[in-house]
Amino acid sequence: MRKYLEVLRITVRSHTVYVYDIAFNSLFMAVVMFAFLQLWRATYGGTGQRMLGGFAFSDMVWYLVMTETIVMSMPALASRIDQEIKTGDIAYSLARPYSYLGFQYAAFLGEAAVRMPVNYLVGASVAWLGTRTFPVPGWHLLGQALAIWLGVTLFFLNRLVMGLIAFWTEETSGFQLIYDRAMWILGGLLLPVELFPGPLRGVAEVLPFRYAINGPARLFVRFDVRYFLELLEYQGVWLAVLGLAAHLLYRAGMRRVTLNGG
Amino acid sequence: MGAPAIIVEDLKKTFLVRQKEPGVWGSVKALFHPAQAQVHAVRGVSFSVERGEVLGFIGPNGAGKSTTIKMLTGILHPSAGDARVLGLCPWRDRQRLAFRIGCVFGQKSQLWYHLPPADTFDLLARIYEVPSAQYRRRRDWLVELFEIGEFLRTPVRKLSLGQRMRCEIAAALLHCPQVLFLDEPTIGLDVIARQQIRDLISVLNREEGTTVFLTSHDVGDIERLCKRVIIVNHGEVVMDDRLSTLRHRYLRHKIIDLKLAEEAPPPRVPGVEVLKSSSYGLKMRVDTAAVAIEAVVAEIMARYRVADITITDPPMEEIIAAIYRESGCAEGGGGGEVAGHA
Repeated sequence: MRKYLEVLRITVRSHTVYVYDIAFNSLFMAVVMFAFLQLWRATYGGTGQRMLGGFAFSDMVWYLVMTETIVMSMPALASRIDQEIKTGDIAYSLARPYSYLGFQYAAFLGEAAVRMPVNYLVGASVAWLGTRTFPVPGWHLLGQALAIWLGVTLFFLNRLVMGLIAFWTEETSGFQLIYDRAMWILGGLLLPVELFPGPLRGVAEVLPFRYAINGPARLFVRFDVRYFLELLEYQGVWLAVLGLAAHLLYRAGMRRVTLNGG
Repeated sequence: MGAPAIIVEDLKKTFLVRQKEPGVWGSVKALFHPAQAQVHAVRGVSFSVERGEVLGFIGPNGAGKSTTIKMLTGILHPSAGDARVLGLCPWRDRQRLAFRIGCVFGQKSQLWYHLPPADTFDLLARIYEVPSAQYRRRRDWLVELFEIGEFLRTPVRKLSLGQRMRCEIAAALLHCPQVLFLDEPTIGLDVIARQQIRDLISVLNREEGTTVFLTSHDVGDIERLCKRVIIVNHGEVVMDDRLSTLRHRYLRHKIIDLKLAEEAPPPRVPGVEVLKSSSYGLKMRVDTAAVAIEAVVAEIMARYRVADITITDPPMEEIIAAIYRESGCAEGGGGGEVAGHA
């Protein structure tokens, strides 16, 4: 365990070197936030409703802050693994006394830990300027943090599985493009799943994406113990399913590497 | 003397490689009828390495050196044959073996590019589960031995290739490995950096008795470090002998490439054959059995105004051709040989 904590620590240090670069990139988040702030203001104004799908205008804006923070902070793990598989570099990890998947997870968390506060700060600034509200953290902060952490872990597993497919396809950028878009849309990045029309909502419910994005963001704006426990349950199930898939793919892929050099 | 550190018996490795005919039609055909070809990278090598020995495992590009080292470190499974490193089977006891060996792959850095080497050292100490006090002692000793103290806190991306390689080797030694695998550690280095690395490996072997398995395509690495050398070509061992034998039989000459600052006639020194001559350039072969290289260099420096001088060993291909000639065999055509099948 301590070796993975050290991996996390060194990844944080490595990415802190480029914190200004990350901050600059997060300006894109400011643009997105500003555009959607105006859009939702017009929507709420146009419909004359105070609540949409259980979200007030300020809730909706803070929901966006959290979904954008999660999505924009996720490291490009799939393309990194894809590259390691293509160049054969992944094989060298076998000569070290650690788990490759454990190493990647710790590194993923480390990078996300640097990106998330920066992105959140930018998004929160725009949201505060637009709504003059700020979600006050309370006793439920730990629950929210847990849900976000599990959501990030789901993101990790999704991207890991995508990257590991390169053992068979060599090139995964096409898959990644489609998969990421599907994850964003069906995960509720721009529009809460609660507002999806019936059939689309049904699709979103049976996929893991909303438990990585929509669920943690919804808890962030309005904490509800019942929803929290339900979310944990779904996150747990998908973590087990995707974790097993990643493990099996990795085992089968590394077998190819050790037998045929990649 | 105990059991050998490394025992290799009839180790073979064959890869299956996808084949595709050129052009668009070839790509379409490959989609429906993918053809594969067998590449025999290692074709039954056997040898052993004693504890504390520095073995040079050399050969030209594509000879099977890196594939062999990958099998011995557990990265690749062999197609046939057996190997034991410190009594362990590398591909079955990979994790246990990892704690007892060190690896430096010349073209694959383990240092974190944006951070100082000190950070990677801390990480590796944790990964190899080295107790803190022992790690600090070991690190300080290696920092002093490798003279890397002045740039230990400089980001790796700002280090020269030679400085980086010294850090790479030091990093591989933090957990006190009993066997050190060095795959082309001097590749791309200049003459001085190369010499520094060779000296360090030599000191390490002397001070700690570390067994060193060194692959290189540079004969110079082997000449300065090893008492024994294995030459591989096309995946087969073509020579396994003492360095003195190699030197006596096949390293009997050196090539001097000279660039002159003024026009001058070629020298007439016994044992020196002029291979190429132009107004401001000379290429000579020196028979080191007939005349010492130092004497030839002294003569050159006394007679000519030298703009540049390069002294090289005969290329690996030439040595291998000489070995085949001497043994009366045609040059084997195995390694990298492709046997296609759909």
